[in-house]
Amino acid sequence: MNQEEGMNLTPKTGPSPSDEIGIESLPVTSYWADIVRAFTKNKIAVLGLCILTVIVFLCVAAPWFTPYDPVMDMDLSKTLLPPGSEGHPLGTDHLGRDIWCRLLYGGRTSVLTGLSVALLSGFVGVTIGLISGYFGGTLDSLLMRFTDIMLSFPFMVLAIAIVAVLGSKQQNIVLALAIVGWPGFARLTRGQVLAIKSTEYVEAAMVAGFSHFRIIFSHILPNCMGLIIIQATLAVGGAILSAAGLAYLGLGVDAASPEWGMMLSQGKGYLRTATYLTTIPGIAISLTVLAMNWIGDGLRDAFDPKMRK
Amino acid sequence: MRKSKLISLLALVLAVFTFLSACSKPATDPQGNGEPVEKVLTIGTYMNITTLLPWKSTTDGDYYVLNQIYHKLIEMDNNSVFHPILAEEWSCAEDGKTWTFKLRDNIYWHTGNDLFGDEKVQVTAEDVKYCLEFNMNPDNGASRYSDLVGTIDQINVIDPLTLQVVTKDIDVLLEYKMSQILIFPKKAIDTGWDLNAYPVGSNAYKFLKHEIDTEVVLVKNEDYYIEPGLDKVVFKIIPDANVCAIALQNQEIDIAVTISTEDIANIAGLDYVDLRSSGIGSTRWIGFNVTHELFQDVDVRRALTMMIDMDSAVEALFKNDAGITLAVRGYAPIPLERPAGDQVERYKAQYPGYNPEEGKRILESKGWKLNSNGIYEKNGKTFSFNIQVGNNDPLRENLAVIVATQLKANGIDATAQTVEWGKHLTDLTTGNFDMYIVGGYSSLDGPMKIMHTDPLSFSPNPGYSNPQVDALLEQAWRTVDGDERAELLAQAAEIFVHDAVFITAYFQYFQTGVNVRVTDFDQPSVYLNLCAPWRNVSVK
Amino acid sequence: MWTYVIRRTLQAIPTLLVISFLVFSLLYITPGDPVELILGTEDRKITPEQRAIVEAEWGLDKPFFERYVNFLARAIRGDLGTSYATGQDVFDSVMQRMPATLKLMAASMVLSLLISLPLGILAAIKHNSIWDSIATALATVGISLPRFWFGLVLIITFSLKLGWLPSMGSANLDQGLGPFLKFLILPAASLALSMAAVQTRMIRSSMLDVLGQDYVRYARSKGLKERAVLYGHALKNAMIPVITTIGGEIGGLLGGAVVTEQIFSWPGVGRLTVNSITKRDYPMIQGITLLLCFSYLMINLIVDILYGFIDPRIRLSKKD
Repeated sequence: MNQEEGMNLTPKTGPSPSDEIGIESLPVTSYWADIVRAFTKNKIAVLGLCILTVIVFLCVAAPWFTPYDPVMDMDLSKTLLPPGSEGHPLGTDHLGRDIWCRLLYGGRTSVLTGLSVALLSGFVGVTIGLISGYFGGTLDSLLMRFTDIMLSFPFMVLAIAIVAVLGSKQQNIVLALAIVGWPGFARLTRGQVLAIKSTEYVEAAMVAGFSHFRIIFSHILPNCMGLIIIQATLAVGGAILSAAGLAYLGLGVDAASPEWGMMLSQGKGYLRTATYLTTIPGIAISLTVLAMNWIGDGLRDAFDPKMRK
Repeated sequence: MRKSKLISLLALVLAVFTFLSACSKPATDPQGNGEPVEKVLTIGTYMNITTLLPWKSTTDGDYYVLNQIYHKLIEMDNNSVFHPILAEEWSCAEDGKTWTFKLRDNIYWHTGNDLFGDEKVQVTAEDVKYCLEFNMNPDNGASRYSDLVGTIDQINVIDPLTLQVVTKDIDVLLEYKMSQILIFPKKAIDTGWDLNAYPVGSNAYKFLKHEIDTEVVLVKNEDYYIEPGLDKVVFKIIPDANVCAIALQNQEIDIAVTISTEDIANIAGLDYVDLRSSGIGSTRWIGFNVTHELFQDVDVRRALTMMIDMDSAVEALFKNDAGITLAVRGYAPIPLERPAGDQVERYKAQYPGYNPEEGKRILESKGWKLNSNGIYEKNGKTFSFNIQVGNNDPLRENLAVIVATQLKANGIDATAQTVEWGKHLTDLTTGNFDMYIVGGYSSLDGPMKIMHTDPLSFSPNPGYSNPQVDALLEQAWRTVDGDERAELLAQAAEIFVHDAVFITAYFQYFQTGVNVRVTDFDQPSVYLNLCAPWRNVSVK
Repeated sequence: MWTYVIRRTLQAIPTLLVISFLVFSLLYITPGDPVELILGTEDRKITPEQRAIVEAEWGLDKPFFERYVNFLARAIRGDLGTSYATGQDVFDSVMQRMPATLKLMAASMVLSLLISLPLGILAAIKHNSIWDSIATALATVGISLPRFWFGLVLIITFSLKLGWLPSMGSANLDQGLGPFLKFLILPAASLALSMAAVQTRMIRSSMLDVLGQDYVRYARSKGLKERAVLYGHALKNAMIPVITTIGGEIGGLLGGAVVTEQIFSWPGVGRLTVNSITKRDYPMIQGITLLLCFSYLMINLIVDILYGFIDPRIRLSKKD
């Protein structure tokens, strides 16, 4: 109890009052400029950004880096060649397709799926979490019960129903994964909002009669950003793997098309005989997630007003 | 201070791990240390146990267990030869319709349960009659209902040990159908005994316990007229095939019902494990939906077939360093081991062999032209379709990918599409598909079900109907003489293959891994008894 | 607080109603015919006569709404129905598997917290240190490799290569602590790894947030011992998002860790769910969903109450 009282006595620093009150135009620009500056100062974060850029470039410009086609170049007489084989630097898969080539082309789908799922579910989840946590009351109850419904719903039933109604397209895969992903963001954000809402600077802003919109976006959201970013970076990796699960359930677009998650699950049976079938896409996903994590950490620190100072 | 606290926390974590691994180490001795004399056979199976009701069983997982508890009248081996089990002998009268089964006089229902207590009650013809009629009553939801109800006219008890079955017409499959029906005690139904929770049969092994999703344990029936070779049979449910192979290699189980293709190399090298082939190939094929507008023309179907290098596909899917035959190329939907299955050359002559150039020429003669994307097009519509495959078998999925890719290379826009199993099966029944991959139908009546028009006998109905084929098949199924029947079947198959209703891909031979300590386990099949007059599986 | 608990529990009723209706309608539009999938096989079709009888028995011949109302009427009386596939009571079937699921859940949760709590705290305190890197590396691996991969690698290592642990199966506590743990450790470890990954990231990030807060600085400046600051102020406040995450994970695990259960032959709820969905065993799927949703709501209630304990500023009920 003492600690809480002590806390209440704390003078406000946070986003400092001079930044917040009264002056409308200045803080907006300097806020983002601050973040960019803080981010670029963080070497690890910049390294992560470089890695991600390289991965994206390799995937987008895949034809420059491999002579093969990921689907059509299937040589049934050259299956399961180990990495380092002639013409196949990373070997071939169980159907004689070049793994390096499938890795590059697969990244197009996988990285895109991972990023769009994280963004989409993050956007929806954070919005709902903010509204729910900030306004509270009946709206909160309603939104949170809705979140509970989505969280406790059997994913398989949902996925199969989505294929049945919408058909199997890449967008629908992203949609299905986002539907499963947003409740996590919502609950996390709401929990944070509840804690931040009762801090003095928010209460002060309320007393000062600022609009809800302004309070949410300039006082509450920046303080939740750290965890949201972490959750989002984790969601990227999760989505790449879950996409493979969906392909297994028949929500996949094409069993022949390359995709990292699919490469992993198709290599499962060969874990003892041809381990590289699973480790290579595993490393690719890990590298992407690692880069995302580093970027996420950098962003987290950059968004954190106290860290930035 | 803070540092040391955290380090000690980490140390605690490490200590817990060490403790756990230490206390688990000595406990990993193989089971049965306490009672070395007990002969226990542990069978690892990936198949779930859905029900233990003898008339409801639809999966091999159920049937494998039930088959050891209950008797069938007769048993069919892998060479399609029938052997006496509950029936000592049986015969068919001149008319080809009246079958007489003479039962063994020394078979009793299991004792030591609350249903029969310790009273030895003989299994009689009345019981068999009751069971057959029970299966034929649609209210009971018996899985083999349709097999019996269309064919059996009447069932008569001649004397307590003699049963007469009269069929409506000549049915050459009657023995086969009888070999599927498990005989359970009438008393169980009359007294409301829960046969699912506690099966009571008459065979060599008695039910001991069923732990949901884990195992079923059977024990020796001491009263059986043959001394069963095992004290205990344990069916372990191991859903993952790769783990099942590891368990076999680890000697945690004695038999792994199916070794996946990728694991063959790991298992074949072990000196304490033998691989046994299932003996009868299981048919896998890629079918056309004949009612689909793209596939109505026989010539188009043949042209597409020519574009697929199935030999290479089968070779790539099943090659293994151990040199074990996991599958052979197929041309007609009759496994090599079944009647008429051996006429491979005749079917091959009708089969549109690999010749992509000829295939393209035929398509072009039908008005299809390559568009700028290199895909065939006619009247503004591209030649594109899905090859639908269920999500339960990676081999079939790979086959779909290979076939789609080969077709694509020849200007056909084919997409391999994995579909959830429930949806797949329903799509096939309702005709909601373009091309599909299916397997099975390797039983004695499989070829009939596949080729005949009757949509009832064939679930994935591709819409093919040819009166000539139907007539040949119907005649075959009324022909008692085996050779004549096989010839009629072969003729039907020749037409069927020529019409390219589907591309028979391969006959797959499943491999069962058996520890060398298991004796007398000659034919690995879930449909065979572990203990029978001519076979008594045991362990060393 | 009790009024809050009662109100939340009452709120569960409309939620359960909505979810039951959702599952019911989704199953209705999902392709797949339970009659064919349960009674038929790939090789064997059922006759129209048989189908008619079974459909009448299962009530599939009735219109959608009538089926739903019938289901509700029975569910209110506590009867979740009988499985199409096994003929067993749905509630009993789920409860038979619940102990295995709970055991696995508890073990993996304990294990993952043992890893993530110290690692996450260390990573935050020693921001940008080696501990921080280790935490990031763990999270990366834990998130980017699927559970089946961990599971199989663990089995291959500890079971096949080292021969320390069994590759499959489960044991009850009454068979002794040794055998019980022997079967439990591998599946729990494979689950714990990915959970620890998420938790470590969350704890680290949340701790960083809290350590930068004014009241922590204030406490420090007041001359409180670092340890008191860390455990008295910071950790407690940092736990809020962590508890949210854990609540979500527990909810997920209650539904069964499908992949882990398959790999380790673990007899939990997840396998039952998958089998029921494959067979379109409607009563079973509906029953499982309702039971899980209810447990999930209760867990969330506990989480929300915990928020209040950890941070009294969060008032449980605005209305009261």
